[in-house]
Order: sequence, then structure tokens, then C-alpha cells
Amino acid sequence: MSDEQKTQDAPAEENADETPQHSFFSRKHRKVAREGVWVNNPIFCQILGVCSALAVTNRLDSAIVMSIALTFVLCCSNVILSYMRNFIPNRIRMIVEVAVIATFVILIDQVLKAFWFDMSKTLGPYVGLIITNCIVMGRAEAYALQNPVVPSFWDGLGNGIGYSFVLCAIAIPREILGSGTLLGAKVMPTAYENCQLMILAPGAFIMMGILLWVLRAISPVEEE
Amino acid sequence: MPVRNSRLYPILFGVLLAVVCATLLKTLDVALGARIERNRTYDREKNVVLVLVGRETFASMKPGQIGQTYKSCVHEVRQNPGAPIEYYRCADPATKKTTAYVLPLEGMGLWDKVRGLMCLETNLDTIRAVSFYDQAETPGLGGCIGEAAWAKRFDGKQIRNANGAVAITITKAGTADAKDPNEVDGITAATMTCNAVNKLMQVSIKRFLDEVKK
Repeated sequence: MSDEQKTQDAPAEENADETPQHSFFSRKHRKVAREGVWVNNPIFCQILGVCSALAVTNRLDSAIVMSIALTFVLCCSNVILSYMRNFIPNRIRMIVEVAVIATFVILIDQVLKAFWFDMSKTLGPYVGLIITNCIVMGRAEAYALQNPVVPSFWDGLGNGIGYSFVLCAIAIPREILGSGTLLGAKVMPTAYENCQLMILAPGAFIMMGILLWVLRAISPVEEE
Repeated sequence: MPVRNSRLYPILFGVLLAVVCATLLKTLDVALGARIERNRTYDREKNVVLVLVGRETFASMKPGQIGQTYKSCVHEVRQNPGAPIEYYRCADPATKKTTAYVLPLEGMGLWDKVRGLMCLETNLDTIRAVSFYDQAETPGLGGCIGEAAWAKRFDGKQIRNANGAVAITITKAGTADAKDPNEVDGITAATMTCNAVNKLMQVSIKRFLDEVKK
């Protein structure tokens, strides 16, 4: 896809004049990405993007599709906003962020509809939902507007992967317990009575609470 | 930077950004609009064939065959001037005898417009198959109306009751009487979508019946 190539190429050029000491895959950049995945995971540590995490995790396939779409938009919007960071007037920066993100999401939606219609049907309303995802704007505010292009790309990627990881971790038990299936294939014995609670919103809250507890037990977060 | 702090700068920046974004999106729309429309039409034709031949046969068809079947079987697309509904009369390619009708099921779902197709046997009562091919209901809940597993529940049901009135109903999940040919079981946790679909289905069927009698 040409969009992907663009995001890959663009930071490499910017890299040369902004952070000459770090290559694209340098340890520092990988660390930025790793922070997003684990230490500073958007859902568990920043509590961002919870709305969509609750809405799309009743089935694993939905969660995976949403994860891919969000990671892509997050990387693109972080890169573009980081490019523009020195020109954006402070007073209207949020409006600018929303405009850029919305343009991106519509662009992707239209391209999918034109060239990959079946995929766009599978994604359905998810693509539109990305605009409202707090992670995209949250990362733009917190990271892309203060940092050069390449680290911003890695930050987007890391946060996207961190979000994907949590989505799948919530979706797997929800689908198994709520529908008795995984990716549409039956995994529970026929005698198992589906737990309706799991596919409704409260099930997501409960699952998220349990996961939060487990993950914080593994890696405690220091309260400031 | 002093320019960035001036009062005019944010306004100019905003206007410029709006123009750039709008131009970009409009260009994209002009460039891809026709292609998207073509995809939509093809998707609809594909679904006409799907409800006509049934899901099992459709799954084994090659893309070329789908187009051919559409051309040979869909005898005419009827749209009387000013008519509220457009429907397909399907006929045997050799004898020209009507074999089935395909009618659109269209209306508002819970969030957005829902488009579907229903194939009826020539008795204008028995359902051959149903497919909701364009919808934006809550994914995983109301969105299940777009799935084969649910649409299959309509197969072989009847739209009318013993008195001849339109009686097909989507019930609350788990309450449908399997023996009742007019009842289709709804989706768990998607009662509002099911109610909306139930309404648009009944309205569409009534419109179609009025139109086909003309």
C-alpha cells in the first residue's frame, strides 16, 4: 500500500536533520515503542481508549480488525502532526488534531471502499469509530506535538500494539465465555451454557477489572 | 516565534487547514466515487444472486458465474415511475416463467440505514433466503444481522399468517416458537436492532405486495 510506504520513507528523511545520532531502528526508538506496549500501556496505565475497548471486545475477530485499523491511523496521525508541530498555533491545536485525524480516517475509509470493498464491509463502523478513539488524540497531545517525527512514529506503533494486546486479552475470554466460540469456531463443550453477561457491556468491565488487577500485580505502577 | 502569537495566525492557519483537508477529501471523492458506486452495485447484484440460489450454492460459485446468473435469471428490475420500491422478478432463462421475486428490505436500523434483500417464492409467501448486506449496527451485537448464521433463520419461513395478513415477526431472542412459520428468533443483546429490522421488514414487504399486485 502506498500510504504505508510513505510513512516508512518520510521519517527516514526527517531523521537525517533532526536526530542524526539515532537510526530508524535505534535502541532509543525501540524503547519508545516498548513503553507504549507495556510500561505506559494506553489502556491500563493511561486509561485511554477504554470506550472502544469495551465496545468491540465481545468477539476476537472484531478486536483484531479494530486493532490493526487503529494502529495504522495512530502511526499516520502521529507522523503528520509531528511534522506540523512547529506551525500549529497553540490555541487551536486540538481542532487541528481532530481535523487531521478525521481526514485520515475518511481517507482510509474511502480507499478501502474503492479498492477493498469486502474488507470495508467487514470493518463496517469501526473505521469511523477510530476518530473518536481517545488514544489517537491523546498521543498527539502528549507525544507527537513535542517530539520529532521518527520517535512519534514509534510511539504510535508502540501504543497501537499495546492497545491491540489489551483488546485481544479482553476479547478472548469474553468470546469463549459469552458465545462458547473463538474466532467463530466452537471451543466449549455443547453442555456449556453461554454466559450472556460476558457479551454485554458489564462483562467487559468485569474482564477489564480482572486483567487490570493481574497486570498491575505483575508490574506495579507507582502512583504519583 | 512572534508570528505564531499574532491574532490572525490561528485564523489563517485554520482556514488553510480546512481548505487543504476539504480539497484532499473532495478530490478523493471525485476520483473514487464512481468506483465505490460500482462496488456497491456489484455487491447488491451479488446479494440478489445469493438470496436467489441460496447460500450453499452461492458459496461454490465463481465470481464470473455470479454475474452470469444475475444477467440470465433476473428477468426485470421493476420500478414504476414514482413507485416506492424497486424489485426484481426472476425467471427461468429458457421458459421465461417467473421463478421467484427478490424485494429490497430498506429502512432505518438502530443507528443507520439498513439494506437487505429477501427472495420470495412465486406464492408470495414462502421465504427462500434473506440477506442484510449493508448495515452499520453495533458490531458483534446488532451487527449480527449481517451474518449468515442469523439470516438463515428466515429460510423457509412464511411472511403471511393463515388469514393472509403480513405476520412475519422477529421475536425477542429465545422466545420464538419453532413451529410457528411466522416467527423468527431475534439476537441476544440486540433487541433494539431487531425491533427496527422487524419494522422495516414489515413496511418493505407491505409496499412490495401493494406494488406487485398492480
